[in-house]
Amino acid sequence: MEDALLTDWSRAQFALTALYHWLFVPLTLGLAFIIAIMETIYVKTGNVVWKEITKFWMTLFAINFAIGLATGIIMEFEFGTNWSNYSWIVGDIFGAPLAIEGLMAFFMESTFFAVMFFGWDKVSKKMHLLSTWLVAIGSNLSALWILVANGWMQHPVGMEFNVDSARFEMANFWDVLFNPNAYSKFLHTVGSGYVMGSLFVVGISAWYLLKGKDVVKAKKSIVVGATFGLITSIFLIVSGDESAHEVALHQPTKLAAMEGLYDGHSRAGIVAVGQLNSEKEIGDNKDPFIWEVEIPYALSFLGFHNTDAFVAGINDLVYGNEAQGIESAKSKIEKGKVAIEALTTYKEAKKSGDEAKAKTALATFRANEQYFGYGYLNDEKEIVPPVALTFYSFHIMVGLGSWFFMLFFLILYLSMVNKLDGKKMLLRLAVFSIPLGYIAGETGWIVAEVGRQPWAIQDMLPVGMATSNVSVTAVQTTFWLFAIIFTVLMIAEIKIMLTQIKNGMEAH
Amino acid sequence: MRVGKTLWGIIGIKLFLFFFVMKILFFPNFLKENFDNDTERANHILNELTTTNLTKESK
Repeated sequence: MEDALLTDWSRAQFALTALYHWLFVPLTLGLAFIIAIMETIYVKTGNVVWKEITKFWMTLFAINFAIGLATGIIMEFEFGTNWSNYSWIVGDIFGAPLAIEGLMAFFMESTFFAVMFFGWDKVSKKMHLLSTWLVAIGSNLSALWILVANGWMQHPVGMEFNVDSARFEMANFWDVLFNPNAYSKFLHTVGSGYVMGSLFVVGISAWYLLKGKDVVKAKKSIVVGATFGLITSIFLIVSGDESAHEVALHQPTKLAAMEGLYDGHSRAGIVAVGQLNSEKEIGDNKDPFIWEVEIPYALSFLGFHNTDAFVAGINDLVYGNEAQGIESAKSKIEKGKVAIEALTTYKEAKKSGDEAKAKTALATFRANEQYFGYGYLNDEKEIVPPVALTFYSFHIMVGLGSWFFMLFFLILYLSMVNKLDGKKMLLRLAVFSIPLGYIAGETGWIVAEVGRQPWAIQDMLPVGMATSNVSVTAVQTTFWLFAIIFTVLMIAEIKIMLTQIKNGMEAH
Repeated sequence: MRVGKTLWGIIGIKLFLFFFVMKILFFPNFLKENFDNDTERANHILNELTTTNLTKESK
């Protein structure tokens, strides 16, 4: 009971810090490129209005960057204290990408940030522009290395478990770097940041237009924001499709939870909207939905790029489906327990110097290694993530993403035909869409992380085995401390941002 | 210029809170604090993965 509580609080704390951290990151990723585009227009045209526009958005970028700075380091503190089993086990894999992130990407981002923000009139126009682009590229490279690490947790590749050091050791760096899960995740994640940056620029520009303030600069800004937003929305849809394909291949329970699919079938449809039946249990005959609107064939196509493909449901994955070659969770748990027993025997044999016994135990372990993590589960239903949270988060994310695409399209079209001025409702919706962008980003992370439960490392290490032997009270205390600190930071960000926005673009 | 000073102030306070209060008081490195070398750490993790947890309810 105490252990389960510790795991829950450790997870809650990590979720809290990750969700707060993600309030700052997407705007940095997206706004950096938009600023670089605006400054490029300034350097190309020599029009000083574009310089003023660039400086205005750069100030908002700096506020977000400064307040978000180091909020991610908290998660590394948590790894060392609350998640020491996990940290040790993945240390060899995560060491390289995180070191590269720290040495290359972060320093590149920070160094050129100084030139970008303080270097106006101190360096040449072209050098300044280069610095702005390097800040954008650097911040995105930072995200790359973090997401390579995260992608590995979702689909571990290029490694071997060392039974003596109890660590996953990197066997092939390139397999880890070019893990399809990592780069599809990277592209989709940075894509969401680009859309967030676009929503921010479009929404604030819309507010200026509604107020009749700084109209010329707002109109120029809104065109850049909507164009970038429209292009990156398409990019987001394409990368989302690839991401879903990866989930279908390597995390089928996550896909089943995302769609509330209990009984798998061929030509599976996607539930566009629907309400889950809260009384539905794994293995019963109740309808999973109170009501739903389904798009036929779409899930088979999304998951496997084939409308006839079989998509496994939760029941298939828990109880197995011989016809489709799906092994039951019970069978995997049994093999996982064999792997753990073999590891125990190996350890004891090595200690007593019985090399022959150690060799046999190691062979048994290797034969069952791929089921290792399942051995820590006691019930086959434990392989299923929280369905309602995953399902609704996924559908909120997709619904909002679709809305953003339409919004950018309408704003850009009306800007081009010079009819945006009278469209007050649309402009209000653009302002209102700024918080919706954050909601879409956070729900995306909920799908990615809650949807892969119970695993810290897919199939290899459940979250319950990843924690340290620390007291629950200590984790609870720091949870609330972080909740307070991050809330204060968020309030500070909103307050300073709003003051700058109200001061207007003319101040720049 | 005022916003710049405010941001530097926030950065300073935040870094102090993170690195000198939270890290030192609340976030010691569990394995470094409790074990002297990597062999001991590896043995501890192996114990966690084997003897300790087979009897636990998903820990």
